[in-house]
Amino acid sequence: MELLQVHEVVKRFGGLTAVDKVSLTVARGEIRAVIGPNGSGKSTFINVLSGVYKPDSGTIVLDGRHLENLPPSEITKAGIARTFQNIQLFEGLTVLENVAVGKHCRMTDGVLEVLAGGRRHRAIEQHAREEAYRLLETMGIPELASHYPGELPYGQRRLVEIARALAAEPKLLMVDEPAAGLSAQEMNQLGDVLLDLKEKGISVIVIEHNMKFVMGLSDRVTVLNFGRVIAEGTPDQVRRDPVVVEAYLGGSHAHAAG
Amino acid sequence: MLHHIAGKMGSKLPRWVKAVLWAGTGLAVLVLPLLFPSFYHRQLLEQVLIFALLALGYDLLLGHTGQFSLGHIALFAIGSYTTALLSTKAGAPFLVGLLAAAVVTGLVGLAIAVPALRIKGHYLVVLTLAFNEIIRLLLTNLREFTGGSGGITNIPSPAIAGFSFNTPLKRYYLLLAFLLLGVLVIVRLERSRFGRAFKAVRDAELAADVSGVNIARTKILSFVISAVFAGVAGALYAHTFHYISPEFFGLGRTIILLAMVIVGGKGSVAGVIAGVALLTLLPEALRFVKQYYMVAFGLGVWLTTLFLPDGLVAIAAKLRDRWIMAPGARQQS
Amino acid sequence: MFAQILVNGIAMGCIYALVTLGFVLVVRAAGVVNFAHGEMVMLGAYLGVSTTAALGLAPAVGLLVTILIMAGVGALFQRIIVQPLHGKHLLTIVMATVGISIAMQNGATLIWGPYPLTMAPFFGSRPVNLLGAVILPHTLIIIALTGLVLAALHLVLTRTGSGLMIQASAQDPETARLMGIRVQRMNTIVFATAAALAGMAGFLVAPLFIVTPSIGFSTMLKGLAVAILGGWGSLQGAILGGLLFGIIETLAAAYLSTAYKDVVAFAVLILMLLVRPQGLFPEKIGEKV
Repeated sequence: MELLQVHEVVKRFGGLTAVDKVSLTVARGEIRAVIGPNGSGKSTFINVLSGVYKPDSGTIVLDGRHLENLPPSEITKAGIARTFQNIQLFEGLTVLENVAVGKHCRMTDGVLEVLAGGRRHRAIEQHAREEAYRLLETMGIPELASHYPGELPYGQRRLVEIARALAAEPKLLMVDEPAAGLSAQEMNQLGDVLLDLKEKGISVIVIEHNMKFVMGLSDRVTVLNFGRVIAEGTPDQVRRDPVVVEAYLGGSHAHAAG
Repeated sequence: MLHHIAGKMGSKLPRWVKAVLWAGTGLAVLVLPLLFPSFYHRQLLEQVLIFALLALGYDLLLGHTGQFSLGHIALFAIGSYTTALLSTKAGAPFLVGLLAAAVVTGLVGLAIAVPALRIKGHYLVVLTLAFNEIIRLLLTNLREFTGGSGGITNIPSPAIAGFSFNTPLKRYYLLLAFLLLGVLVIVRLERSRFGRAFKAVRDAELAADVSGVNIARTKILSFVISAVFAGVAGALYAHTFHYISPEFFGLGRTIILLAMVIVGGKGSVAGVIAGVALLTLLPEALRFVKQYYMVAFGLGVWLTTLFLPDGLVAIAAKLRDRWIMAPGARQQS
Repeated sequence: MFAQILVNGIAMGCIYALVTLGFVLVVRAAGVVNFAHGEMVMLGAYLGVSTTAALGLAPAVGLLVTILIMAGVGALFQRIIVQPLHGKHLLTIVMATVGISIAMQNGATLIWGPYPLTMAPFFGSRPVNLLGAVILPHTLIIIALTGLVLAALHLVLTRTGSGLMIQASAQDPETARLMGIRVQRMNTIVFATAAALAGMAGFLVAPLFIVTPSIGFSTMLKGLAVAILGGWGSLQGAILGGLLFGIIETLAAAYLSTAYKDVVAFAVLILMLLVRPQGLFPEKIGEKV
């Protein structure tokens, strides 16, 4: 059975239908790119999947469980984590603490336990911090643990956000325009991180503008335009699809299939 | 846990410096009332301790969780009146009144938290201000229950197991114990997933939601715990000063509490306590020029908010950094 | 009897409308929640006392002088205090303006002393009989003047070039700036106007109550309540909300009790926030983040 089954999801804002009966399925350990010109509904789609918006209709099923009407924190608990296009970190917490927030929903110590300072709480807390540190190591930035997000350059902030999302132990990670603003080296690093997730059996949905980045990375590609799926297939299939080329060239979009 | 009381500050200092600072502060705090034997000074110290407890709880809501509530003095009042009424009208012992105050204010805090889930920013400010005013007005007008504007008098001193804290000196140590307990609560929370959740909600609520933090539960927790702090502080206030009236719990007090937290340094235990001490002791020291003092105070608040948004504790942090960077000072990794 | 209460309610409503209008103008134009706005009302009241009682000027002249002085105060306030606060967090702006409010309140005590002062109502303290209602001529003056001022303001904002520029810079300062509008100057004008309106309200209401340094605080609270009631950021909401608030408050004082009128007012406010936070007369303005 597929990990994620999205069926005919619709999201309207007043008179505008931003997401128009979009369906897709994602397999376990698959890297799926979702591409499309500006305004095609990619970010809205991610927002619906992560619970930021409630869909007007349609279903979202993860491992057999319906997620359509759940709030974002419940969806994360169910196994979908995400990052934001405009990187939202907690500026008042250290990098390590930022990542540890991702662990919040997996920690089971209660308030009274915490106040009593019991052994179980201390063990859980210690474990969470170690996990967070290990994630920073996976991202290649363990030395940043005690720094604050404000001190970091853009590329590293991106990595911290991904680490935070991974801390929630997701089955599916959705990254929104992760390559934006990254240097070539950072992009390579990011690509490695995503491929590494695939190896671990974690699925990834990547929303991207940068064709070169996603084409070399993804197993399958879904193309959106005007809120609808206009093509789907392997990167090669999609690249050659005339409908896709038309959508990009026709819509004054500079990133032609590369 | 100890290093966390000084917040992030402590982590950069060499161990021996920290030890000296701790020993020094601890000693100072313990002998303070002995150095100032007058009734007047000791009452001032009592006031500092009580307001420190109140302000720490308030900071949990305002500084840590970013909920801009101006209703905390109402909670303080509810705590005071609950225990005052129980002890004067029903002869309830101190600990019972204290517990009742904590429970009642906790419940009220819960009640305020619910609308606060939907209401933010300036709307929340006005909602909590209105709540504050209504409580004060009710306390003034429900004469039969609350004694009206005359207030409640002859509230007994705190007493535990027959031992009565009937002098400022004895009360000082009791209040100090409560304050330390309060600090312990804050520090333990800070160093747990809840403390991080509070700040996450403050810094980027949507990102916190999406990271798996239950926003509603986090906000409610923050409101309830900070309310309990206010209730306990209020109860201690009633038993310490033996007299309460609605005047103590008005808009002026709300503003001073806000200033204590912000000027001292929101989100920082040391900062908040410093703010409380400064804003309690300074007006007394400059009492003879009260009006001029108040003008200067107002201007000082304005300037501090403008130039030191992180409060006075930021000055201490800058000094510490400069000390570390000075040649010859030992660097901590 | 009812007519009397209604007229008094409308008069108080006019005062609230003037105060809140100034407050909301500032919120709209500068995005600033000015907690010192109530002190502008207080200043207006004190200036009223000084010009009429101490200097012995005729009320009309005193009013004019007060308005001019308050406009100046508002302009200064914008330059010195508001401009540096641009773009800062709500908490910072509130705290800063609260600090100024404390300074102003105590400054007033230093200048005028802590004891309550009084001001004579215009055209004397003898009530007239108007269609069965027994009211002070002063009350009618309040209503008349408020109507005049609001009409004039409306004309200026909608018919003159400056008025349109002010509206533009309130709705979209960036674009306004790009179009060559001096947004800073518009802001100064707005603040001056707001302070003048507040000062006028203080001047007009002073004869009905006593003047103390602390009237600013309570006015601030009511102003906030009216702004929410009418619809935050809505100019017509400020006016209509103010009138409504004044009427409700006066009715509550007459038929319930003076003690509980404030409780009623704030309870209504809380109910409003819970049920319909956008207020009674919300205006669709561009989303100010």
